[in-house]
Amino acid sequence: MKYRRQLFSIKKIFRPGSDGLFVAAVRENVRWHEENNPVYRKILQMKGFTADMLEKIEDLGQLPFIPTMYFKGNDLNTLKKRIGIYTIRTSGTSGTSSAVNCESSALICLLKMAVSTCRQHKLFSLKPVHYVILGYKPDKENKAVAARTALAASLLAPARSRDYVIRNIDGRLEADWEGITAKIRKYSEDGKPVRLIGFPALGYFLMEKLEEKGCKDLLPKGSKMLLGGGWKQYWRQQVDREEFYRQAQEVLGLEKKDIVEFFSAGEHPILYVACPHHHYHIPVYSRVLARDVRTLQPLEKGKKGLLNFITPLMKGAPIVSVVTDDLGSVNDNCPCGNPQPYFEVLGRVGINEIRTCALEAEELAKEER
Amino acid sequence: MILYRGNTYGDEYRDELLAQLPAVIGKTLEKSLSRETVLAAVERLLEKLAEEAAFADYFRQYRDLLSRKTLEDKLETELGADPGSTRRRAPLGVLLHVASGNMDVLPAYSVLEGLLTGNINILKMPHNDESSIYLLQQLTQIEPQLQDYIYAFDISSSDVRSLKKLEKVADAIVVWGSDEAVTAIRKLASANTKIIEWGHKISFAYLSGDYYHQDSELAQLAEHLLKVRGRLCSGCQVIYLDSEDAGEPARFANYLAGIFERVNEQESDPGVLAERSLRRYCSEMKKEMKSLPYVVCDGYVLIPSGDDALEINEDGVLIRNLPRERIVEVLWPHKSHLQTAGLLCGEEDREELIERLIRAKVTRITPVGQMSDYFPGEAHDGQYALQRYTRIVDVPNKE
Repeated sequence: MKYRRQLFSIKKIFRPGSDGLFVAAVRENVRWHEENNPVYRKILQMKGFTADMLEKIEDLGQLPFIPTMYFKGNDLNTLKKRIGIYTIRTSGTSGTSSAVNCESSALICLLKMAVSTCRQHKLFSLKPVHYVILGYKPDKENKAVAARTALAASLLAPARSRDYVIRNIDGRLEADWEGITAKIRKYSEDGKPVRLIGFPALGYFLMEKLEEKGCKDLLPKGSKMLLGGGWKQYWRQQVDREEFYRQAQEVLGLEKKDIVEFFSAGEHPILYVACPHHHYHIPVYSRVLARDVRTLQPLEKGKKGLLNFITPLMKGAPIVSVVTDDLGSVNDNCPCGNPQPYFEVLGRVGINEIRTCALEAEELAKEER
Repeated sequence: MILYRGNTYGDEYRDELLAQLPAVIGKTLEKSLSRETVLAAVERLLEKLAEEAAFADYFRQYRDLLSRKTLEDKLETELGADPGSTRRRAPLGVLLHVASGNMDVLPAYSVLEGLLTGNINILKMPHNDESSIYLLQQLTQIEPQLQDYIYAFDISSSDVRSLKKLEKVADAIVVWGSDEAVTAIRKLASANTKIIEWGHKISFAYLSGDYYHQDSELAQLAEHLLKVRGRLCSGCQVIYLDSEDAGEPARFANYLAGIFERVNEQESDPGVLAERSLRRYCSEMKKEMKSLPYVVCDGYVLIPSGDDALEINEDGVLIRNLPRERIVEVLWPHKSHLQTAGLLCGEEDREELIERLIRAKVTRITPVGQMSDYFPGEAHDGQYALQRYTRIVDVPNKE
């Protein structure tokens, strides 16, 4: 997997001119799965495709994709579970969860990617910060990716303290708004930066609480809010983004640039960080297409459809081209000045039972309010 | 998660709360709950849900079902007039609802039926059923009187010890679900506990006569299949054709595929279209992988086959021949599971087919497109729930 190694070693994540290397790495990855995974081989045969047909970047649209829906309930892994294989589980809905077997070399690629991405977005800091996790503490019973991600994100700068909005009080998950608001007000006085990390909905409720208490301009300079888990998939209450940013400014004193939005998925664990225009620019490690909701054919830029994510990251599972449940579009010319194309998430496929871990946390928050 | 007197608790509080439950219930039994209190609370709940934009969309489909008008009609139809001066209708007392997870508001609805009849309700929830807890807790917040009448526990069916404790305080167990669920509850319950079963049911469509020229009805059937996906008891699992021609199921499947195509053409919601396309793509993959005789449509799979058995296929809807003379013979063995028959036929055959279907022990006959629609005042599986949740007590005449 030399092309993959080269690709994920690129430190400048938006470096132009990586198309040739990307296609070579995808071809290498597709060939690996074609040779080692009979199910994947059959899928390619059904669609009349072989790895050799990938020559240029435009050919990626012809590469057969696998819906994340198909991963749930079907074991498609190329490498079976054994020592050195790390299983990424996505939070399942009504018993359907998927497990993607990530081998250790892919894990190293992921780590490199995460370091380069956070460096690009200046998320590392040597200055110790107070962490407030907008979520819950991962533990034995609580293995969802989201909770772990929030914990991992809190390693980006040394921790002065770490508090969780949702805590396990005597074995009972509870949103501790009183405790957290008191802590934040204390931190605001000691002048050390604070990082809020986690689900947007919990951030929203926290700010509502603080606003009720008449708080203004709370957080010290250098504070940030890091958000993951999306905005559009709420079942009960859609958090209006403009309102969110207004509150963040007024209550917490955070400007737009201090709020960082992430996107990632279990079947496509590439890390995307939104620019100030809420656009996820596509790094060298992946390519993203939108597909027509009727024909599933690739769409030209700017058109809304199902998002198709392509990355040669993994040997353990054929996640090289996946279509998630997200609707969105891929565009150029972002006003933020980043010349790389970006995608926007504009909705979810119309299945009302699709529920995510962001949703679970939000419900917990509402019940405890 | 546990809902107990209006508050939610983690499952580790279960033993403690279960221990307190008999005393709490004993106190509540001294009071009575008026219908009007329940109706007013549900009315306010609906208003509240409508205010939350994303929520409103989700619950719009249940607005009629939960409206004051529908509930009042239901009370009127099922309980009828006052039983007279020497008789009183009284609640059974405490209902333990054992709910299945296939319909999101059903567990909460079952509790609502218990409330309307003045009962104290304990819900054993399907696993991870946050929406029921949410709805029920909202009710207790809107009307604090209801806190004493609603309890919900997330208890695994294998936790016999906890279930037994709940069973001890219950006057009746209302069980929704599969035969296994019903059998398990029968085993658990002591001889004196009444068991009210709403078992898993199976439903089908029956097409007779010149069904090829009934495109609008067939389009409604397609929409029913797409919307319900066989997840409800009333969801169509098999389309029976009144035919003896072995080639008919495949011929009709291909015709129906064209109807699905037109239904899909008229759909404009990108989220719905995306879901159907992804399902089609996944089904095509499965069909190819396993060489299955499927007719894959946008969002659904039609499975023509030569057999006539009433069966469920998780991949889609079966299409089979069943000449009318054999309806009773083939369906009657499923008598305890039959629910809805969606009927499409010529006027001249209607009476005969309805008679045959009733003899086969179907409990509900509807037009093909309306198999899962709710009819105000309709019975669950041929019986009125509210009647079964109450008892009649004879009282001495006032001199």
